Amino acid sequence: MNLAPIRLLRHFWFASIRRQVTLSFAAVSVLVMLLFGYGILEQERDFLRKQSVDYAQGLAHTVAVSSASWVVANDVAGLQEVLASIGRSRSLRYALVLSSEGRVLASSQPENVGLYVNDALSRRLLDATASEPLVLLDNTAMIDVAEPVMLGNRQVGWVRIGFGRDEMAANLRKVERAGYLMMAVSIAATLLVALALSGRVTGRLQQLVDVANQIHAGRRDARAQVSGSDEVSALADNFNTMLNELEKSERGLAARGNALSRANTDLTRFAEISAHHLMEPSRRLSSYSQNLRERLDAIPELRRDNEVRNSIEYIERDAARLRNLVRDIQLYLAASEPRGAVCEEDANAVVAALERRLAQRLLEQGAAIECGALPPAVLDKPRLNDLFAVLVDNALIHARPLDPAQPLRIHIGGERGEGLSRYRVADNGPGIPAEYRERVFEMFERLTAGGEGGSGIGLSIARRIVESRHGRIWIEQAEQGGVAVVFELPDRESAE
Amino acid sequence: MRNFMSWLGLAMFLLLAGCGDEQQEYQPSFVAQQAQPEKHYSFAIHPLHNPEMLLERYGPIVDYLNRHIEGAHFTLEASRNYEEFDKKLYAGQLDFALPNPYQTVNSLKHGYHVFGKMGDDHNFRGIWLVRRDSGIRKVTDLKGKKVSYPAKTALAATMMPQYYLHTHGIDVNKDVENLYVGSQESSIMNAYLGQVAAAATWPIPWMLFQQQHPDKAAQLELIWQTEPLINNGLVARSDMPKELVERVAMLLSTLHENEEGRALLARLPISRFERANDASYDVVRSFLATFSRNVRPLEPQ
Repeated sequence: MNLAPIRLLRHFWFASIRRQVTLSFAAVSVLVMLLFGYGILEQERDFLRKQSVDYAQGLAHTVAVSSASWVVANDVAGLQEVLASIGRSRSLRYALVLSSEGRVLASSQPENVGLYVNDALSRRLLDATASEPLVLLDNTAMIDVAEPVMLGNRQVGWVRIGFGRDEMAANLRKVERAGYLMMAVSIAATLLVALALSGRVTGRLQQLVDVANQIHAGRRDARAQVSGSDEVSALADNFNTMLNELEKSERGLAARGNALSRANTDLTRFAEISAHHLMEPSRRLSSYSQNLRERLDAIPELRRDNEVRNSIEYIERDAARLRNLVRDIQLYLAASEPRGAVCEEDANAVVAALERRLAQRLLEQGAAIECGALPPAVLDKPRLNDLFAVLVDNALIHARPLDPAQPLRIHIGGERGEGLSRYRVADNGPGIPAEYRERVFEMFERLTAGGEGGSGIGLSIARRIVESRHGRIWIEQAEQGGVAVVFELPDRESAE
Repeated sequence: MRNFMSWLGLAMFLLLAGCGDEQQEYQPSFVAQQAQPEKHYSFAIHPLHNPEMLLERYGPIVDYLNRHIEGAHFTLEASRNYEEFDKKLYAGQLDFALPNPYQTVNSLKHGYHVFGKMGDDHNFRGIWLVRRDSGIRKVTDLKGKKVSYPAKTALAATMMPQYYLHTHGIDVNKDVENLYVGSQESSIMNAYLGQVAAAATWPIPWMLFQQQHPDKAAQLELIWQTEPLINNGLVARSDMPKELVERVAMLLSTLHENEEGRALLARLPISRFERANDASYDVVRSFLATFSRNVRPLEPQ
C-alpha cells in the first residue's frame, strides 16, 4: 500500500494549526449544514407527501360518498357531474369512478367511460378483498389513492384519484435552493470567522515561534511582543519570563564554565608541568642507575653481590615505570582535545604503522596482530594512533593465554554502523568477568597483581578519547574467549 | 480525523440518498372488454326504497343469484327516482327488472316479458297515514289539504290511494294538493313533519319505517287502506337467454323453500316470489283503464 498520499495529507493537516482550525470549522459547518439541511428537506418532503396523500384521500372520500347512489343507479351522467364538482386541479392526472368489476363509470377523461381498467395496479385494486381506502402509488412523481364506494355496508365500486407531484417537487426545489443558499452563506460566514479567529490565535503563536527561532539563531535578547490579556498573551509573558531566566542562568553557567575552563586549563598546565618535572628526575634516575651498573661491572666482588644487583634492578624498573606513568598521564590529559584536524582517517594505515612500531615487542612476546579491513574513522590522526596503541598495549600487557603454549593473538576488526564506525580489539587472553568490565575503565584499576609495564590508565585514555567524540566504548566477551574492547566513533559530532 | 471522515461520508450518503428516488408518472390503461368469462346482467329494482336501503334489502338476493348461476354476473341497479327507472326500463337498458305492476304492464310494450312476481298480493294495497294529532278522521277531511305520494307512476302507493280518495268523494285533481315527493320514505316523512295532512304509501315501506323509526312511527297512524291488487312483477328483456330467465325464475320462486332463501325474503319483507306471465297483469291493465278514465288520465308510456 502506497502510504505517500496519507503522509502528505497528514503533513498538510498537522503542519499548521491555522489550517486545522479553519478546515475543521469549515468541515464541521458543512457537515452540520448538510445534516441540518437534509433533515429539514426530509421533513418538508414528508409533510408535503402526507399533505398530498391526505388531500387525495379526502377528495376521493368525498367523491365516493357523493357517488354511491349514482353508482348503484348506474347513472353515468350523474357520476360525471359528481366528478366535475371536484374541479380541475393542474396536478390532477385522473379521477375515476369504477364499478366493482373495473368498468369506468365516470372519468376526468370522459372518453374512457365504459372502458375497463386493465393495468397491473388497477387489477391489484380490483382484486383487493378489503373495502378500505388504499394508497396505490406514493412516489416522488405522483400519488394515486383509491376509496371504496360504499352504500350501507356494501361496496359498489371504487373511486381513484391520481395527482402528479410536480407542484410538490417545485416546492421542494424552492426549499432546496433556499437551503443551499443558507448553507453557502453559513459556511462562508463560518469560514470567515474561523479564518479571523485562527489568524488571531495562530498569528500570535507565530510571534512566539519567531522569537524561538531568533533565540535559536543566537539572538538571546529576542522577546515576544504579544499584547492582550488572553491565554496567548499569558503564554508570551511566561515565555519571556522563561527566556529571561534562561538568559540569566546561561550567563551564570557561562561564568561558571569560564571559571571551570580556567581552572581546568590551570590544572592541565600544572599537570603538564608536573609531568615534565617528574619526567626529568626519572630520566636522571635511569641515567644514574646505568652509570652505577657500568661502574659495578668494573668491580667483580660487587658484581657478584646479589643485594647490590637487585637494588640496581629495582631502581631501573621503578625509573622505567615512573617514566611510563608520566607518559600515560600526559596522554590522558591530552586525550580529550584534538591534536590535529578531526577528519576521516584510514584506520588500516594507523594499525599497520602501529604493527610496524611494535614488531620487536610482538616478536619478543610471541604475539601476533590480525587485522581485518577497517572502516575509516573520523578522528585526528594522533589520537587515533593513541587509541589503537593503548588498546593493543593493554592486550600485550594483560592478555596472557591460559594455555602457555598458545601464542597471544590480537584481532582488530571493524564495521560501519548507522552514521558511525565500530571497531573491535579482541584477544585470546583469560577475559574479564562481566562485573568488572566497567570498572577497568577507571584510572589505575587493575584486576591482577601483574601487568608489569602498564600504568593502569590505558583504558581510561581510550574512553576519554572516544567520549570526547561522543562515541561509546565497552567490553565484550571475545569470540576466542578473551576480551574484546569495542568502540564506536560517530561520523558527525553529536550534541548529545 | 477518521471519525470526521466517517461523518462526512454519512452526510454525503444521506444527501445522495435523498436525491435519488425520482420516479415516473403512472397512467392507468383501459380496454374495451373485460377479460372475464362472465356475462354481466343488470337487475334493476324500481325505487321501492332509497338506493342504500334498496341495496341492503335486495343486494343479498342478487348475491344469491350470482352464487347459483355460473357464467353470469348480476349487478343490482337502483334508480334515484321513478322517472329515472321508467326511462331506463322503457329504453330497454335493463336486462332484468322488478318494476311495480303499472311499470310491469308498460314494460310489455317495450320488449319485456313477465317471468315472475312478488308474492303476498294481499299486501299490495295502498295505505294512508296521518299524524295522530292531525284531526283527520274521514276522507273528506282532506279537502283543501296537501297530501303526499312517492311518484305519479307508483301503483300501490299513489294510484290506488288516489283511486281510494276518488271512491270516497275526493276529486284528487281539485280537492287536494298532490305532492309527489320521490320516495316512499319521503312521503311518510312529509306526514310526520306535518308538511302534508296525509301520506300515501303501501304496507311494506310502512313496516320498514316502523322498524327503523319506531318513535316517529308512533306519532303516525294508518287511517285507510285500499283493496289489494297484484304485486310487483319480475320482467326480463326479450333478448335474454331463455335458460337464464328460467334459471332466475326457478331460483327466485323456490327461495321460500330453504332457510337461506326465507332469510333473504324476510329482509324485503315478503313470504315468497311466484312464477307469473304477461297475462297475470291483465287485472292491472283493467285497473289502469278505470283509473285513467275516472281519476286522472295516465300518460302513455
